[in-house]
Amino acid sequence: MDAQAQQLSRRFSAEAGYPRPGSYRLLPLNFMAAAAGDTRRYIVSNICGDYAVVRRDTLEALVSGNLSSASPEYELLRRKHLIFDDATRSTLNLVAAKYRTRTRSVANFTGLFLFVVTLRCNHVCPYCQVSRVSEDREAFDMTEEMAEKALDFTFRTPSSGIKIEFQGGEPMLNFPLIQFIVQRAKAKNRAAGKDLQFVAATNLSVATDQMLKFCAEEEILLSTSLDGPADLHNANRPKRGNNSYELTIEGIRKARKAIGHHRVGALMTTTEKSLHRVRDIVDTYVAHDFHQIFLRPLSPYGDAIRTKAFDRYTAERWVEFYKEGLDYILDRNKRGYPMKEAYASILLTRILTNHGTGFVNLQSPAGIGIAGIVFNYDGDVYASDEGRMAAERGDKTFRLGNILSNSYEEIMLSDSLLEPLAASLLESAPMCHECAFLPYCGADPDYHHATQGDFLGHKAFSGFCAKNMEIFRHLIGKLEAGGEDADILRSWT
Amino acid sequence: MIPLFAKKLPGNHEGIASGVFRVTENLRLPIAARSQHALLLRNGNQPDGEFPLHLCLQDATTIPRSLRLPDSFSYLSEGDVLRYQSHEQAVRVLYRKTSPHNSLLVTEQCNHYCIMCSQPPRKIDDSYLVDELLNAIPLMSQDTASIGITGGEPTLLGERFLEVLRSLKYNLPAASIHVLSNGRNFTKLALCKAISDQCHRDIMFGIPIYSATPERHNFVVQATNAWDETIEGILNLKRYGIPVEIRVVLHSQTWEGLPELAEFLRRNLTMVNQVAFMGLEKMGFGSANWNYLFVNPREYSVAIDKAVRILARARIPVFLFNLPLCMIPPHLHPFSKQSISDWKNDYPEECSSCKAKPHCCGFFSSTAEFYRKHVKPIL
Repeated sequence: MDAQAQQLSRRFSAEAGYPRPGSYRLLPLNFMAAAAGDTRRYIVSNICGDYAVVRRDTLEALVSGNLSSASPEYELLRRKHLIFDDATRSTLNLVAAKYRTRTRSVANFTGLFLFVVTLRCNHVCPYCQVSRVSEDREAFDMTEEMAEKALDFTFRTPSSGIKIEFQGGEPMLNFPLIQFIVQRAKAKNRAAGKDLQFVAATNLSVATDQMLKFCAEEEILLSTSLDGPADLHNANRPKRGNNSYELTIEGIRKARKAIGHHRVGALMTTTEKSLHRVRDIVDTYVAHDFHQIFLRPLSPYGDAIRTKAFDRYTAERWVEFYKEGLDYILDRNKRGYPMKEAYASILLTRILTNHGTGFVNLQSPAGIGIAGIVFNYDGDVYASDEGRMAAERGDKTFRLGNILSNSYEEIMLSDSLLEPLAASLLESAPMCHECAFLPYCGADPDYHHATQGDFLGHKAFSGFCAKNMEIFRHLIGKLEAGGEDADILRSWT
Repeated sequence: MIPLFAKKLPGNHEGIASGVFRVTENLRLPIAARSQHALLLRNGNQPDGEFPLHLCLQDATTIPRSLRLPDSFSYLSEGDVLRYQSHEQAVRVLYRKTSPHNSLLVTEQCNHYCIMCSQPPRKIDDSYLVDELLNAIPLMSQDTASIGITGGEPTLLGERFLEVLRSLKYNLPAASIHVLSNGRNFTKLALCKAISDQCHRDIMFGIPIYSATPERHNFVVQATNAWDETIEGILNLKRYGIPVEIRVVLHSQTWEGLPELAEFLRRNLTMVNQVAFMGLEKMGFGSANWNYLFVNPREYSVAIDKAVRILARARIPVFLFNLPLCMIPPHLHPFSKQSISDWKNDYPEECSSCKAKPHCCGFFSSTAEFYRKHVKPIL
C-alpha cells in the first residue's frame, strides 16, 4: 500500500484541530511525600481518592498554575481528576458522583450489631480484657428481655443490610439465647425484608454437633481465633490443659464439615510474641487451607499501652511485622496459593475503588454507633467493641445507655455518641485535613481516647496514624512499581 | 451475506402502492386479512386470490402486482416485514422474524462524523424513515426478543425518536431494545426522564467512548466538546437508572489508550452495565480510511488484555465483538461474542478446517477478503 493511502481522507480534520485547552483549574487536592523523608516524589490525591504520583517539580508547576497542557503529566493529572479544564467540565459531576458513592455508608447508617450474649469464657487470654471464667449465669449472661429489646433497636436502622454478630466471652456458652435471637430476628425480618446475616465469634471449643447443625440450618457464619502455630497460639491463648490450639483445629475441622468449608473464618491477634513469627503464622493459615488472613495490629486496650512513645514504637515494630507478612503472603500467591491479607484488601478497596468497605475503624465520621453498635451482656449499649472493653476496666466513656431503660432516640442522640463523632471528623482535624491519605483513612476515637485521652488525638503521636500512613505508602508504592505484586494486590479489591 | 435491498426489480408494477408489508406464504389467507400482506410465491405455487403485492421467486409474468425477486431473497419467510418503493421499484427488508439481529435505521443524520463510520451520515430530510417504521412495527411478531435501533444519531429526532420507542413498547412488549447513540443529547435531563417514564424497561443505550483523553475522542468523532457531553449524558442516563453499554471500536487511533480508558471507566463510570471492544468494519468511512485505521488485532492484544482485566476485576461485564478468535489470545476467548449481524457475516474458506469456527464471530463480509491472509485456523 502506498503512503498516500495511509493518510486520513481529506474530508476529515487532523487531530491538531482538536487542541487541549490552554488553562486549567485545580480540584481540591492534598499531597504528601511518596516515601517518608523523601522529597523527590509526591502522592497527590483528590477528595474522592483518585491519586497520582508525580515528581516534585511537576507538583510545584501544578499548584502554581504553570503546568503546561502539552506535558504528559497534564494528561495524567486531568485523567485522575486533580485538575479540570474546558474540555472536561464533566469532571465536576464525576467527582461529585464518586464522593456521593464513597460516603453512602454514612446515610446507610448502622449495619453491624454486636450481641454480647455472655461474658463467660473457658479461656483466660491475657490480651482479652472482658471475659470471666465463672458459672454465674445470672451475672454474666444477656437475658431474653434484653435481646428482644436489642432486636427492636436493631430493626430501627435504615440500613438495607443487618449483620448480627454474636460475641462474648464465649457466645456458644449461652447458645439458647443465640437460638432465641436468630429465630426472633428472622421473624421480624419477614416484615422488614433486610439482607440479614449472622456470624458468631467463637473459639469453637464448646460447639456441639447440635449447635453446628443449628448454625448450618440457619446459615450462621463462624469466626474463630487462630493466632499461629501451636506454641504461639497456646501461649497467647492459655487454657487449662494447654490445648487451645488442638481444640481450635479440631473445632475448625468439625465446623467446616457441618456448615461448609468457606463459612468458617479465622482471625489472629498480634502479641509481642507474634512479632518475629509472621511467616509461621501465615504458614499455619496456609496449612489449614485458609485463603484469607487478617494481620491485626496490637491492641492498645490492655496493659500494652503505657506511654505515647511506646505507642509509636510498637507501631513501627508492627509495620515491620506487617510488611514482612505481606511480602510472604504475596509470595504464597505467586506460588499458586491464592490468599488475601484482609487489612490490605480493605485499604486497597478504599484506594482503588469507590465502594465503601463498611470497616468500622476506617470511616469519617467514625463508625462508632453509626456503622456498628454493641449490646452488652448487661443491657448496656456501647458505641464500639473497644468501648465496652474499656468499660470493663472502669472507663464508661463510650456507654450510650441501657437497652431496657433508654429509647433508640436517646441512645443514638446521646452526647456520649455525638461528641466523639463530632470531635473526631477527619475533614476538620489538624494534620488529617491536609493529608493525602484522608480519603482512604478513618477516625478512631476509641483508639485516641485510650492512648491520648482525647477523641481526636494528636496525630504526630498517634500509633494509629503512624501505622496507617506507612501502610498506605507501602501499598501505593507497590501499586506504582507494577508487576506481579501490583497485579495480585489489585485482585484483592 | 444476505441481501436486504434490491431495486429495479422486474415484474408487473402497475397498481402496487409504496408501503410496508408483512410477508406471508399462506395462499388461503382470508381476503379480508390481506391488506398490508405480501404473498411470497415459490415452487410453482399460484395465488388463489389477490394480494396487494406478490413476491415471486419464480417466473411471474401472469400475476398482477408482482415483483420477481432474485434467488438470493429465497431466505424470506412468513412474518418478515419489508417495504416497497414504487419510484425505484425497490424492496428493502426491514425485519426478519427468525433473526436475532433486527436493526431499525431511524435517521441518517448525525452530529458526529466518525473517521471509521460504517454508515456515513447524510444531511437529508429522511423523516419518511420513521413514518415507515411506525407502520412496520405493528406488523412485527409480538414475540420478537430483541430489536436494535441505529442511525445516524437517533436522539436527534427528539419527540419522533420517543414515538418509535413508545411504539416498540406497545407493539413488541417482550423485546429488549438496544439503541446506538453517541449520548450527547442526554445532557438534556428531560430526554432521560421521558425515556425512563415512557419506554421499555428493557432498553440499553450503546454509547461510544474512544479514549480517556477528550481531544483524542473528539478527533475520532470529528466534533468539538463531544467527549464532555457524552460523559454528562451517560451520567444523566444512569441518574434515571437507564442501562448503558460503552462501545469502543478498535483502530489505529483508539487501541493504544485502551488500558487508560478501562481504568477511567472502572473508576468513574463503574455504573455502566457493560463494555464492548469491537473490531473495525470496512464500510463507509471505515473503508475510505482503511489503511489509516486498520491494525491487525494481534498487534494490540496486549492492550486489550490489560483493559479486559481491569474491567473484569471491577466486575464490569466486558465483551469482545467482531474479533475473530484466531486473532486474540486464547485466555480472552471467553469474552468473545458472536456479534456480527447474520446478514453481513462471512467466513473465508480458510476457516473451514477451524475447530473454533462454531464459536467464532467470523468476519464482516466487507473485511473477509482482506483478512484471508491473516486467518490462522485453530486445529
